[in-house]
Formats: sequence, structure tokens, C-alpha cells
Amino acid sequence: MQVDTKAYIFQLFTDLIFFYVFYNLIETHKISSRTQAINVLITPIILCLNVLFDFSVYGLYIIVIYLVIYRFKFVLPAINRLLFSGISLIFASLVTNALIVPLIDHTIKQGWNYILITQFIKLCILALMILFFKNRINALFEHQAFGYLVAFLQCLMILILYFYIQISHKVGIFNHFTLGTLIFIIIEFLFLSVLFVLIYLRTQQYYQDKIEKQQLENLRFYTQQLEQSQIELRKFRHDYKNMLFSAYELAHAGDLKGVEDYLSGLTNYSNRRLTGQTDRYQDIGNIQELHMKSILLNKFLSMEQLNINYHFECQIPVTKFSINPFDMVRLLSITLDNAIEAVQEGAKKDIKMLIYQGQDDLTIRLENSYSGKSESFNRLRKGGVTTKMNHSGLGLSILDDIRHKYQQVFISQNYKDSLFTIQIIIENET
Amino acid sequence: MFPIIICEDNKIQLEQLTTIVKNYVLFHNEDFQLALSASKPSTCLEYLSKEHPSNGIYLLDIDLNADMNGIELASKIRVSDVQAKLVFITTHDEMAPITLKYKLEALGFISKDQPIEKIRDELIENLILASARSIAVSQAKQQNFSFAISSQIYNLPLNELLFIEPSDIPHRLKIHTKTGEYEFYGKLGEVNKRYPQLFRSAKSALINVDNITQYDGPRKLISFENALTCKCSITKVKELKHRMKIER
Repeated sequence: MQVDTKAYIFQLFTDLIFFYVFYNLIETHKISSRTQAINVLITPIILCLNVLFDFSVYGLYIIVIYLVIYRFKFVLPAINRLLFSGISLIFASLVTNALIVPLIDHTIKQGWNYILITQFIKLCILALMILFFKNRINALFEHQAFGYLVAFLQCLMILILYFYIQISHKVGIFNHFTLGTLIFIIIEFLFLSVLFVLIYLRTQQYYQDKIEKQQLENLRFYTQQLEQSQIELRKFRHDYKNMLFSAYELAHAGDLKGVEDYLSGLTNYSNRRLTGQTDRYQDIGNIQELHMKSILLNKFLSMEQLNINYHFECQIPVTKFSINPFDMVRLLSITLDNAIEAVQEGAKKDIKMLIYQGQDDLTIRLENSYSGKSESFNRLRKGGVTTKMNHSGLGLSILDDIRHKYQQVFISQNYKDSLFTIQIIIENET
Repeated sequence: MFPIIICEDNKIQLEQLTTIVKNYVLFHNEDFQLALSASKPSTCLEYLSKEHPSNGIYLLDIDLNADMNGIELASKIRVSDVQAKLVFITTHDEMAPITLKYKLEALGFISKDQPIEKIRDELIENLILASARSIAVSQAKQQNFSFAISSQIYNLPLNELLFIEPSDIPHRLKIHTKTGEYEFYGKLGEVNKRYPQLFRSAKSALINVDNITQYDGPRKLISFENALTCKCSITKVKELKHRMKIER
């Protein structure tokens, strides 16, 4: 089959544009207009190369775009997005071919109409892919545990497709065997998907085990604390019986002043003995949801190790809540991590936490001292609830993610008198 | 008139508290009235459902030795008597200061681990404070911006409010204040109706003109402290300038 040369070059050109626009649409990173301009200026060079050589030039294009946007930083999700754009374009081209080739006459030279229809169908397929896959695919790419795996599988897919197309061109069956090609891709895709699912499940299992181990560790720590306070209590009971006996003796002897002194001494003694560390763990017993309890114990342990004064209250039992327990863990762990990080900088290291199960909602209130200026607080508000440079806005993105995922979650923040407060309200499901 | 309700499971302590309150009311009977002294939370709830007291002052123990503790009782009281003034009388190790302060808006807490004279002084102080608060609330209502998140009502001083804009989540509004930000369900138009002193500078912004730090004419950008900005639509520029002149 022959195609008009000008129309063919037009096709190559629009393919490049499709690729670039597709990538831009699934990219979550903000691209500055300067970078955008550089990328656009590069396109003609790539087009020339593409006309001279074959579509392997896209490999070069991907590398160039990556370097222009990210310089030499390693950003796995971005690599995955670029690879995915490439695969999508190849996939769309093959499907279009499969649809259109059987309908045309191979003996005559094809002109502009053929190319325009092809490109139009391709555009529709790509648009549909964006519509259906954009969020899902980005969620997958952002997943740290699977980033490498997905990148590897995508590279593999591209390589196989590349060699398949090269060979079928050489053998000369490419234009006749389009349906076969499609079936081949689908089989390959299924094969890779199965591979992915297998590895996914195994990794999931690995993380599950890790979490369980962590939970066990937290509970062990908790048990230790409980035992400790149990021992204190036993000691106290022993002393207290002796003391009551002495008081009784004094009363018997008619020494009222002596009894009064003695009892006030007893009050002091019990206040000293029984407060302190026993108090800290009193309320955690009211958190009856295990995931939540475990993450709290974990964070309290690290606060203890970092010598942070913390205070925790939960007076009304929390048995369940209206968001996924894992999202609750993410929510608590990011807010507590931020608080722990913020108090490190100041001289005062205070964290106060309140969890309150009301009739209609669950409130989580976290207060921490923060000695930074209020300006930097505003930067925090805008850029994300973290000050880590190499970590910018991850905290916010997790909170934002949860805010968008659940209608019933409200997050408010406040910074006043060196005290940063974040309050999260989760409405019960109705 | 402020009814006083006491709930304490220990008979001796209940007696002591009741005596203190009775003696105090005797000399201030115009403001206060001892309505109930109960040893069980259920008695207290029965009274609430029968008499529907308002502006009550409630003296509560936290550990009530019953199926309900003082905190749960207090949250029930809040529902029936919105303006309730809660004072907790409790031992040191039962203290839950943040819960009491933020969730129940307790007026105060009095520690039992101190001499009875001291308890009396603190109790009376709290009673005076309660009546002063109730009077202040009715006057301050106009100065506050109030909104609800879930079942919780927030009252922010109006002079701390910077501006309100639509949130990135549909149907929600985001409030920026001098010290923080909050989200709630609402519509700008309706909020504007309730608070006509705020100014609708654009379709997507309701601003507090008092807190504008700068207006950038060419860019139609209104700045507030904390480097926050919002737009002013062309049709509103004139009114904005007019309002700002009046304020200055």
C-alpha cells in the first residue's frame, strides 16, 4: 500500500503532537511555560528524525522531554507516564489500522482522506483512554511499591511491540495481517497483566506482613506499659493498706490533728504515684479500632523516644468510622509526622491530641507548638503541610486526596500564638 | 435567671456542693436558682426532658459510677440546652482538659483534690463567670461569623475574617481568617444575605473590606495579610473603592 508522501509526513507530525498532548494531559506535575516552549521547539527536529528513521525516534523524544522537564532528577512516576503515553499511541495506531485497513483498496495510492480519517479515529481512541484511565493510571504510577515494576513491564511491552512491528514490516504482512496484530497485542497485554497481578499480590502480601509485624511490635510496647502501671498499682495498694491502718490507729488514739495530717499526706502520695505514665495510656484503651490504635501507639512511642511532651485524650470509645481504616492510618500518620517534625525545631516540644466520638461525627484535633514565623506557616498552607525540601507537599497531597475521596471529611487549620492546630471532622455515615 | 443543676454520685460531696450553692444563691437570688441536685445522671436527664431549662449552669462530676459518665452526660446536656455553662468538679487523674475545653466548651473545671474552702471559692468564681458569659454572648452575637461543620457550630470573630471563596470540592466554601482556614457547606449568596457587611467583590469571593491590606488596580487584585489574594470583578471596582474609602 502506498501513501501520499505529504500526507504521510502530516501523519507523523500529528502523531508527535498527539503524543505530546497526551503526555501533558496525564502529567500531574506543573510544567512552566518556558519548559513548554522548549519542548515545542524540539518537536520539528524529532519530526525530521522520524521521517528519516522509524518510530524508534520516540525513544529519543521521551528522553529529551524527560530531561527538559525534570533535568537529572529521578522521578519514576514521570518515566511511567511517558512510557504509558508511548504505549497508548502505539496501541491507538494499531487499533486504527485494524479498523481501517480491511476497508480500503491496497492497490491504489492512498491520499489525504485516508490519513485524515486515520488520525481522527486515533484521536478519539486517545481521548477515550484519557477519559477512562487518567486517574487510575496516575494512582498506580504514584504507588511507590510498584513504580519500578510498572516501568519494567511497560518497557517490555514497548520492546516486544517494536520488534513485532519491525519484523512484520520486513516480512511484509503488516498491512494484511492487522487483525492478527491486534490479537497479538491483546494476548501480550493479558500476559503482562497476569505477570503484574502476580507480582502485585506477592508485594501486597509482603507489605501486609510488614504491617502486621509493626502492629505486633506496637501492641507489645503497649502491653509493657500496662504491665508497668499494673506493678505500680500493686505497690500502691500495698502501701495504702499500711497507711490506712496507721490512720486507723491514730484515730483510735483520738489524735484528730494527726489523722488529718496523715490523710493529706496520703492524698499527695496517691497523686504522685498514680499519675504520670499511667495517665498517658489510659485513653488509648478507648480506641477500639485496631488499625487506629496501632498507628497511635507507634507514633506515641516515637514521641517518647524524641522526648516530646505529649498529651492524648479519648474519653468516648471509638469503635468504627466512616472512612477506610487504611486511609485513617494514612491521615493520622501524616498529621502526626508533621506535628513531630514541627516541634523538633522549637525549644518547647508539646503535642496535644484529642479524639472525640460525638453522636454525628468523629473529631480529631491535633495541637503542636511551632516556633516558625507565621509567614512560613502560610507557605505551609499553600505548598503543603510539610517543610521538608525534598518532600514538598506530599503531606498536603495525602490530606487533599482524602478530602476529595470522602464527602464527609472536613479539615481546618489554624496558627495562633505559636500553636499550630489542625482539626479533622469525619461525619458518621448516614 | 440561671438555673443551677448539680450531678455528683458521692452523697457527701453532693451535700457539700449543694450547701455551697444554696448559701451563695441565698444572697444572689435574683440571678441564680438551685434547680436540681442529683446523684444519678438519669435523674438529671429526666429533669432536662421535663423542664427544658435554658442558660443553665451545670456542675458535674466526671466519674458518676453509672452507665454514663459526666462527659457523655454533658454532651447530652449541650443538645438540650445549647447555651449550657458546664463546670466539671473532678479528681486530678480523671482530668481531660482538651476534651472539656474544645468538645464540650466547658466553662471551667475544679479539682476535688484541694481543701473545701478553695473548692467553694472556685465554684463561686465560676458561677459569676457563667452569668457574665451568658450576658456577653447575647451582645456579641452580631460580631461573630458563625457556621456549622457537621453538627459542630463555629463562631469566629468577624474582624478576623479575611474572605470566603468556593472550595475545590463542590458546594463547599472555604473561609480564610487571619489565623487559619475552614471549610463548610454553603452558598456565597446566602452567606452574604446573613452578613451584609461583607462585600461580594466577584462571583467567587465574599470579602471583609476592613482587612484589605492593598488593592492592585491594574491587576484587579485584592490583597490581605498572610499574602492571600483574591480577584475583584470589573463591575465591582467602583463599589469596592467606595467602601474602602468609607472604612479608611
